[in-house]
Amino acid sequence: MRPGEWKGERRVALLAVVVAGAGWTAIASAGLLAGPTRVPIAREHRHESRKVEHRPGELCAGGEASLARIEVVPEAVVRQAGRERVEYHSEIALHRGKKVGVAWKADVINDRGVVVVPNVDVGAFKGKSGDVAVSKTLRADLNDGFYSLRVRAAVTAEGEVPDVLESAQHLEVKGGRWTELTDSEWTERSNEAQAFSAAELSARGMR
Amino acid sequence: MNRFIQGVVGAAVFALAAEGAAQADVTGYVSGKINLWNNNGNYCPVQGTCTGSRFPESQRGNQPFSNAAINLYDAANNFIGEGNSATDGTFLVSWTAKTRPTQIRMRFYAYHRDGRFYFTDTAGGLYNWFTGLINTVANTTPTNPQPIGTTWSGGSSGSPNPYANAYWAAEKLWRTVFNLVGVLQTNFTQVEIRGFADNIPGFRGECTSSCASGPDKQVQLDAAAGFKPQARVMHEMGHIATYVTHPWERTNNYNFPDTVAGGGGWSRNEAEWGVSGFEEAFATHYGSIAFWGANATAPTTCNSTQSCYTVVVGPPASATPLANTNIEATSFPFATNNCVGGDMPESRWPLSHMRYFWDVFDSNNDATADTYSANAGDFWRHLHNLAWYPEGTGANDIDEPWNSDYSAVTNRDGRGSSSYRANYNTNVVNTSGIRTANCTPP
Repeated sequence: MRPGEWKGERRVALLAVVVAGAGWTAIASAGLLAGPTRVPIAREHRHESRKVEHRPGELCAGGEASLARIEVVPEAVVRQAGRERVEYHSEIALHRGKKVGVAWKADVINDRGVVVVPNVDVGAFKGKSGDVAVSKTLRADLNDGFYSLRVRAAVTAEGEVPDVLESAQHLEVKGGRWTELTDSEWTERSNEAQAFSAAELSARGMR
Repeated sequence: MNRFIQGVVGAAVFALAAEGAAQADVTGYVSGKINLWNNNGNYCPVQGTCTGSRFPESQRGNQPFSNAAINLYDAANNFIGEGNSATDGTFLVSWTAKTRPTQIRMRFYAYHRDGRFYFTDTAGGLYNWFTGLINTVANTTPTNPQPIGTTWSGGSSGSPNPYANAYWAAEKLWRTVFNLVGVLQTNFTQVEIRGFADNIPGFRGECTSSCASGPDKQVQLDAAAGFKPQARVMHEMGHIATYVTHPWERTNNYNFPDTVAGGGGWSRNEAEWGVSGFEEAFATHYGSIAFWGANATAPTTCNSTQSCYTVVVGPPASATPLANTNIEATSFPFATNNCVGGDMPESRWPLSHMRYFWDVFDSNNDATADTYSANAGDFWRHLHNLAWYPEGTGANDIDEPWNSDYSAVTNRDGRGSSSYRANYNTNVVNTSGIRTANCTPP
């Protein structure tokens, strides 16, 4: 997911989770619990309030309305054996059309565009405007590095132009702990913006 | 040039000037080519009727990253030179330093070489790609530069880059359309295009389907806008173009017949008041004529990362424009000139405005009275027409929707296609028949 209005809410939520998680870890260290701890991340459901509004000073209400909107939503923080990862799910909110069909696929790619965990989830949904398709929980064990959890969804609707939507949450894993990155942080800290040489693309089977 | 780059350049020039008196500078030259992986939608598929297409499917994949700013740095990240890519993506740039740097690094910016527009990330930083450190060689000249590689790509087939793709569309729009119109050559400068997020606090705020501000020369692209050129970056740049062609007191009157300001989006085939239907359609028109030549027989526009066609791979292969994407088509015979049936009268569809503008532009006579083509000598005039609108709030004036003291919008069909036709008639030619052939959009 791109940085946006969720950022503040999410970081507050994550902080609360980290504090709670620390408590759980202490309990676990004392031998009172075994296995991973999974602390859900509270989230306000906002789809209904995200209709396009006309604001004074804007030249247009926005471009032509899309069939759907896709988000990657943090779901829980999981701690185990000194490592901490975030689990997500994807929500695809259908904004227009009748007989809407959605098919999605979630992958983890690294900062050089290589898929490192394919098919984190693959799913499909049939519905109508106003419905929200929700993926399974998106989880992956990742080594230290820079990654994007990327969800792509193909959307079709009766009498409408098909579309492919994409949303990604950028991540850094360091010492086994996940940190969400904004677009700017992703660009500055990862190798995402390093230009490819022809040789590198060829060696990786890309063009 | 952007203030950021100006600052960097200024500091470097000062430093070089201060040291220049003591020791002669060394200059070197590097050459190469910058490409992007073009993953944009709205192309004409190989199976389609691509007569007149300026974006056939063959232009996807490896394409030149055209007319973009390039900076050079030494290994310590000191600025040592700048240049640009050409339209074909090739570049020949020089560096200058006190002594030849052992290594250099290049940065390719999504920044138009003439400063017409530039792309920034959500925090406002100039978006760029960088090479690894490159060992330099001695004694290079403009005719014997150091070749550093034939391809440095922004993105790849496995992970196409949205900034590179939106830049490609923006550059094509500038070079093939805006650059041919004097008023845009004068006024379309330093437009910041920031993305990609649905909400960018401190910029345009929340715009879930992108937005633009003419007075601020700002475009904000939503999270999904990277590969939808016609409906997103080109469309929003179109809004900036209409505004800088002739600033107007903007209104927000969508959703005919709803008279409540605010609420709702728009689409090509839903009814809008004339002022909004016209503005959205004209903003889209620039992108339509960037992607389609005047002789096109089935030009399309749509909001998608894909083509605007239903494709049958075959055999036999075929491709048919999807519903409400063909801007050359007409849904009614010429005799039915208002198309007002139903609760979403087609006369008020932005698509009807788009079809009117297309028929003004094109040379393909698909309907009665469609014998005029602005492309044959009047290209700049049909885009300049807004500049000829008289100032004021009277009939066919630039602020026609407003009452005389600008306290209220009293004519929601003002500054629409009707006014466009009237002003074009005054300054160029009468296009009444063409407007009639396209449902007489208000």
